[in-house]
Amino acid sequence: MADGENSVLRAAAETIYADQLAALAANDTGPRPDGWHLTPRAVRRFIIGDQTLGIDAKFVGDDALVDRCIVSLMGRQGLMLVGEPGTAKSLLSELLAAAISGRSTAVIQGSAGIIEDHLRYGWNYALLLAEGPSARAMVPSPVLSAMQSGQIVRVEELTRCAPEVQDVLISLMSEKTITVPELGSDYELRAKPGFNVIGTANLRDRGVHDMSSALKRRFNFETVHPIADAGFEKALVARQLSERMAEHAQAEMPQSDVLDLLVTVFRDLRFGKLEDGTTVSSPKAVMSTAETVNVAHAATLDATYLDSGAVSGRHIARQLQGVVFKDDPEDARKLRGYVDLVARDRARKSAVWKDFFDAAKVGLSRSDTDK
Amino acid sequence: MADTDALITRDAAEAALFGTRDGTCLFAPIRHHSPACAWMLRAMIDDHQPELILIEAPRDLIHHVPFLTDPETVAPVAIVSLGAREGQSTRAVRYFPFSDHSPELLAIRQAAQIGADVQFIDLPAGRHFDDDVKIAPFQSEIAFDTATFVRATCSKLGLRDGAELWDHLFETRLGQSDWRGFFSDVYAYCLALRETTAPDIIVHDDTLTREAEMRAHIAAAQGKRVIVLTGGFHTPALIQPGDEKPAKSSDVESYLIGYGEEALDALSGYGAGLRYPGWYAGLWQSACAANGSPDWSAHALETSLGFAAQMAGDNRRVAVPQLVEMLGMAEGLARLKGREAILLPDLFDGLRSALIKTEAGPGEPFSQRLHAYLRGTKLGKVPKSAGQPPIVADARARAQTARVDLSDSIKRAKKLDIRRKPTHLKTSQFFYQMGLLNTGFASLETGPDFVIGSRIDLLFEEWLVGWSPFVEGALIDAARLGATLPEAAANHLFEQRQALFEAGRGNDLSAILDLLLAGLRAGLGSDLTELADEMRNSVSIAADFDALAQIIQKLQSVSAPGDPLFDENAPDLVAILTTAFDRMVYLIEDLTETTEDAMPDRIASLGIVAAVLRGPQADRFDGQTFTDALTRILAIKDCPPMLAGALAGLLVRAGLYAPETLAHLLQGNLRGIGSAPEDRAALLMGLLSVAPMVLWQNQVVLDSANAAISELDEDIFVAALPSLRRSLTQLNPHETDRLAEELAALFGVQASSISGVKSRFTEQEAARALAIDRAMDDLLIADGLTHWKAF
Repeated sequence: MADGENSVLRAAAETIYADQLAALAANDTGPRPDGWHLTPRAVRRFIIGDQTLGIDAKFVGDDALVDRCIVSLMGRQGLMLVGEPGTAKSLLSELLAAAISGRSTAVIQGSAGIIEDHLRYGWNYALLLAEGPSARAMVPSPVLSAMQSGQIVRVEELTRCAPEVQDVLISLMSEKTITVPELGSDYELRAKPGFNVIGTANLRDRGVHDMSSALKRRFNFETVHPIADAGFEKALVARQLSERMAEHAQAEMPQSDVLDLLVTVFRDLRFGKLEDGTTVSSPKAVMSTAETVNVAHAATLDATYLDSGAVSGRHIARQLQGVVFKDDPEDARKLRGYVDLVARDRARKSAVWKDFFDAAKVGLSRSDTDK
Repeated sequence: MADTDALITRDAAEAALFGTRDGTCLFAPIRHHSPACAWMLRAMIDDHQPELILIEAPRDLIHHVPFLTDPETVAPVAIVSLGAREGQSTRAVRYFPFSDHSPELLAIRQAAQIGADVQFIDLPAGRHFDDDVKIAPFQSEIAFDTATFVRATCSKLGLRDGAELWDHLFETRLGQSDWRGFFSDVYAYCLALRETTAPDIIVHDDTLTREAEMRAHIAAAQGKRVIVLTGGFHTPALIQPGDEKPAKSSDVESYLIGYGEEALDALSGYGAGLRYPGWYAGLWQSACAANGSPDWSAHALETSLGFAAQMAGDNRRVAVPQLVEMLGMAEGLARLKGREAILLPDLFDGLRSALIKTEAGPGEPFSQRLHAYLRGTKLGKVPKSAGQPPIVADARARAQTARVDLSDSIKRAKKLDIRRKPTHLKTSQFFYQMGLLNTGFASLETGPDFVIGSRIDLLFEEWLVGWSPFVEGALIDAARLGATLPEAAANHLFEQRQALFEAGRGNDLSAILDLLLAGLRAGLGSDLTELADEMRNSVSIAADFDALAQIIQKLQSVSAPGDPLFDENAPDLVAILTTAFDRMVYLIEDLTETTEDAMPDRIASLGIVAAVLRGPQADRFDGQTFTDALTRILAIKDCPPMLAGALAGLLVRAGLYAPETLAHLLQGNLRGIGSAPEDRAALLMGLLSVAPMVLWQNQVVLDSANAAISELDEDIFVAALPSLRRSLTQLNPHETDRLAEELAALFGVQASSISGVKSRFTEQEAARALAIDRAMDDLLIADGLTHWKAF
């Protein structure tokens, strides 16, 4: 990693993986859609991985989904990634944009505060006052700039935008054109080949707006599921953790059995079911892979700086409550049930689980007395 | 295996398949039902012009071959063979299916054209019935999905599973002409499969014995121009000559039947060929029509349009732009994987991206329907001369009379007006006969069930009906029971009756009654004489009071003309009825010995018979003996009070007992000096369970009961209250209402003023008060003031 990148917390995908993208581009032959930086197959290799080129898998568990996403983006439909929180929708959309357009930074981060101008264009008011409406005075939105340069624009959390703002996308996506009436009745800006929209949305959360069916028709929907395979998930957590801990050279990475415990706890609570099929109550808190990484990160920091030595079950137990079970008191009860029934049982057979169980008991009784 | 490239070269594969035995004997490794294999095989037969074709199929099924080439035969068809009969259990059934695109069927047809002989070389079908599997295919292709080599290759090529890999490598070559190259590649593929399949799977499957058998037959054909047609998985083991001897032939019962696309696919669970037979049949037709490679895009387009038309029929229209997007996606995915041909996963993925506009998961309507559409519903046909057990022809004829579509396997709803239309009643009986033989042909969705007596007020029966190969399989299995459907169904009932005897339940009246009713329901009345006679004998010595009451109640209604189960050809049910009645009267004497737990059931049975005696056609019973018996035991000194209450109630209703005496009895029981509180209500309980109307039809009874209860000491009343209340729960809402009215009149108040008392609080207020109460409790607990809660 170059020094310059260390000055930001997290660089864009095309920066982090610049060498991989370059390696792919160097060997990339075959038909390529207009405006694409790589052929569709190279995009696939970039995301799913290719050992012969030394490219690691960045999105695991559902190759067919990646295929569909790539093919969708070649057509006229936009791509809408939906699914539970923390299933790496944004990660996937960033990787796709970086590989296809060489740029993943044309992004709109959806929120209730987004207005139409953020999707179309705004004005440099000083210039506007000085010169009147002119092309120079226009401030293009990420969408407009992506249209003009034939790139992918990403709209994160589309359903958090107000319905009337979402509606802007409808005609924009079918016409691939933005009209600017201020500059004359015929003034239009047309998208170059390579332009497309990747949206991400969460259809289940509270506080989101519905998507109109007109808008839905302009997107192909792809559901990103939680990672089905425990082994994959463990590997992913380990990799993301080591990326995050890169600047903490003295930190000791968690042992395999500790990671097993962490991933198992999260999977048990996420699916509401143990490996053997026994049901446990699933908390409302999001038990996603992303949260798993958060807990692993916090536990490793805890072990490194506040405790001495390697991460163990007790660090996981301590961080779990703070990172995941934030507000809902019902969730604390469910965790207590899990600790009392499942963890106690496993603690009899495994030292790591015993460590986890003891610390979780202490933590839970402390939170009881706090009330 | 890490490096499969080194396993074999194409030249070596060609030499192995076509170069042994001076090139007279060619091996064709195939996958069952594969259109591409069938296509290539045709070219091979054309080039090689064999005298003899050896096919991997059970040797003892060879006599069906002439019928497979009969012009009247319409694929899919299957040879079904039945396992040995062991007692009365259902026999094992195995199917050997053929579709138009089966290499085996194609070879048989080609052989007939060029005058070549066909020989089946697998172990006799009789040898396949060692295990407990009831329905199983002969051909297992599990290795095509599970071998390590398959998984490794899939991940290398970016494909999903073994099915896609096979299609990607081989089905895409449908319509091409290089059969040598094709079969060499299939051989290399299967060799790799075999090398990377766990040995225990190979052994478990009986594979080695079967291969020895096939080698023996190949050796016997030495010197002729031969083509050996087997599953590619076996080919590697067959090329080297062996010195084995063929196994002894066994005699097996087998038939050629019409098969269905749905069944062809249903078996694919353990891999008898390819999934989605409808889709592959379409591909085969496209290739035949083009006399070369099918137009894959056109085939995908046609498939999508057909699917959309079916969806529109289900009122789920697919908009044209979405359909275009689906096809575009499918084509794009095929290109991404580096192939011209649009294959099944491409269509499914295209559908998923283009049609599902929300989170994908259970509940979306498209995928399942596409599955069903691609599977197909076509049913095949066999010529009459192929020889079916007569029962199959009989059932088919009856199904046609009942207007059931025999050309496909779709289950359709059928509504029958069994009470008014005799033809509908006949159809219903036919469905029930098929049900008795467990054919899975028709299932009752809603309608009256006269056997268990549930919902018998319903007028219509609604059935879900559809013919399928499994129906035929079940019928063939039942052929031993009779040549016609009614005969077999009736014999099935006798077998069940026999099974009851063997299980030591020969006198289980309820079970026998169920059989009898099931027979009547299936219109088998004329065949039930024997069963009825046996039943009458059992009844005459029965000790089961409640079962006798059931028999009297059910047979009484069945023996009335107009009842859907009435059958004028049925045996003499009245004889059973009167026997049961006489037996019951005889048993009444023992009622005083009944335990307390069983008493309510006995009383209910008395009530049932009393109701029958009040109903139509009661003159066939000697009612006098019944009431005499009741009177007799009522007079016994230690008649239990609950029984006494019921008896007296019944007798008062029949006008044979003075209400005053009943009032007296009731009063005595309620006062019950020295008796336990729960005993005080026993007589009332017995009375209310069979004759509650006595309370309001006879003022004196109500008055005295009221008087007795009013006199009770407060403490005794409170102690007796639970059992008093329990006795009142026997009343239905109308009766409760009626009794309340009477009581209100007795106390000189308006009934409406009792039920109409308004609460001072609304429901919401009460809920709020409760919530406040709980909150207060919580506060008190939180403040450590739990002892205040008492205030």
